[in-house]
Amino acid sequence: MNLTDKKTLRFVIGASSLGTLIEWYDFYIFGTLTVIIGKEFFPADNPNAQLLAALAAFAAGFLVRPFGAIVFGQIGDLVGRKYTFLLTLVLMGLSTVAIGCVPSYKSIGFAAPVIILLLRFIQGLALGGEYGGAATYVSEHTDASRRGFYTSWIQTTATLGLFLALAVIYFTKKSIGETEFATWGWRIPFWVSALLLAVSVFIRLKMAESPMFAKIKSEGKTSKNPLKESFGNKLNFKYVLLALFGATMGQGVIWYTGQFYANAFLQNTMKVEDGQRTFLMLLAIALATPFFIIFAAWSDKVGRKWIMMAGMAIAVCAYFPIYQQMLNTTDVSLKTVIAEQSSKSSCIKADENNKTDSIRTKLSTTVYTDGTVINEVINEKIVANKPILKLETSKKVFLSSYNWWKNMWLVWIQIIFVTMAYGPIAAFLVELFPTRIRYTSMSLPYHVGNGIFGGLTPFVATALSVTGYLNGLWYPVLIGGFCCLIGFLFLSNKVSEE
Amino acid sequence: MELIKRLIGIVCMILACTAEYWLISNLLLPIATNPFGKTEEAIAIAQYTLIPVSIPVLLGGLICFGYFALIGEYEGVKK
Repeated sequence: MNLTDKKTLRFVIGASSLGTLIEWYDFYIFGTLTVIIGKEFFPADNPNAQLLAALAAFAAGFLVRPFGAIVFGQIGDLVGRKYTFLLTLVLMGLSTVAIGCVPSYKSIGFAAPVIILLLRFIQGLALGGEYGGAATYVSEHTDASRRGFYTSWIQTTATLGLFLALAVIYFTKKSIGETEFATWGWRIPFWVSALLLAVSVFIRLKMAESPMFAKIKSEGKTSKNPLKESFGNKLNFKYVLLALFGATMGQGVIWYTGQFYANAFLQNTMKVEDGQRTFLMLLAIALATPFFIIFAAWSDKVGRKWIMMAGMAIAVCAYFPIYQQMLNTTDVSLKTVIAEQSSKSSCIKADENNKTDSIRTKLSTTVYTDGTVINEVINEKIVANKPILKLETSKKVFLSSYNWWKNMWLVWIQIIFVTMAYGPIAAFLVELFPTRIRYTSMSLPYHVGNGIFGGLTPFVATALSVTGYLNGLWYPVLIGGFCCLIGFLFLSNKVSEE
Repeated sequence: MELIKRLIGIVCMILACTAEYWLISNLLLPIATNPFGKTEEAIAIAQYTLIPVSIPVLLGGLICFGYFALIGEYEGVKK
């Protein structure tokens, strides 16, 4: 059945995807600028502010997103898709712009972190309501035979949102300089959201209600209580659980490992220089993104299950070898130093806080035969008759061209696993639930799987990696493996039909 | 295959109980007895945000899923 002509369909997909892309962009700029925001609003010497900082970082992603899914899912199934996801877009955009305008802790004191926390909560709520609305809205305009292909454009937005956030931050830094960026320039990416919001709202206001929802609404067949029907009715609730434990849970950890953990691993474990790391991530994302559409379109032909399960299974088996290969590129025990090109120097100056003490700064540049260069700066405090106190160490690894490309392809292949697991999932979730309660039913498992299981990946993996560089991978491997087993046994391989 | 599904149901319920026991003994009790005392604030608050979500999701969700699998709710149903 053709529900919508092609021109309208292109408009529907474009407008829905643009709005969702902006929501992801808004959500990620906060995460990407956490360190700077922390210094501005959450001073380290104030424990209460530190509590709020942790809440802003964790709660918005984990706790609030599923609540947003429930609240806006319910509204979407009662009132309609169009107005609900217009509301989530406006909420997200305004809260993001507002974050960029909040005065710092130095200016207004404790009110600053409280305001930031509230705005971050609004962001989490809005994000919880957006994705389900966009996926539902697009799928309800399309015929079943190409549902995977059409909804895949929505699937690209999460990754493109990350791409856009990294790119805007990188180019803002480049154009105004690191120092200016740290003092006020970090606000620019938040203000950019105002422009994106205005364009997106203008476009979305022109959209009509989804034909499927409009039809059941005109027939009086909408749900009176979507929440009760979704989670209080055993027939539907068991599919909510199946969607969570057999698909979204594993897909969430694969998504976060392939992009966020890979980025954190390059930054914190391998100490790759910021510019090299950002370009590596941007290129890997750009080269992998078309595969969201390819795999989702392929799922229209061969079914959703096997593509999603294959993505998860290959990822689970490949993570340890991939990360070992990445680690090897910066492992100095495998490299030979070129002594003639390496250098060491140090300087001593008086401590500004205590003139009787001194600060020694040791600088070293080590060049290796494979082209890797490592710059290290060590600051030490020298106090008379006391042992030398190491203050801080910073290390930057400049990858050789060969190693840079090697790491890029190793990140790229991880994002390919993401495209396999994530590309067809919107169509899969849409097909699992009936129109009258679709928004509510599909939003919750998606945001629990992504927000809780997936969002925890960087936190849990970093905590586990204290005992060994690669031990952090056990989290995505175990969760992804368990989800893959459930999906393999319990999911049916639905192939779209007219 | 149906037998394996039912066995997986039992495994899920056992897994849920084990995970809950671990969460409560390793995260909830230390925080309840000594809030913010020894752990860093950030870690503690992360645990606070995890516990209210993890307990219902893991205990409730996984046990329900395991129970449905055990009684054969997922057998031969086509949607």
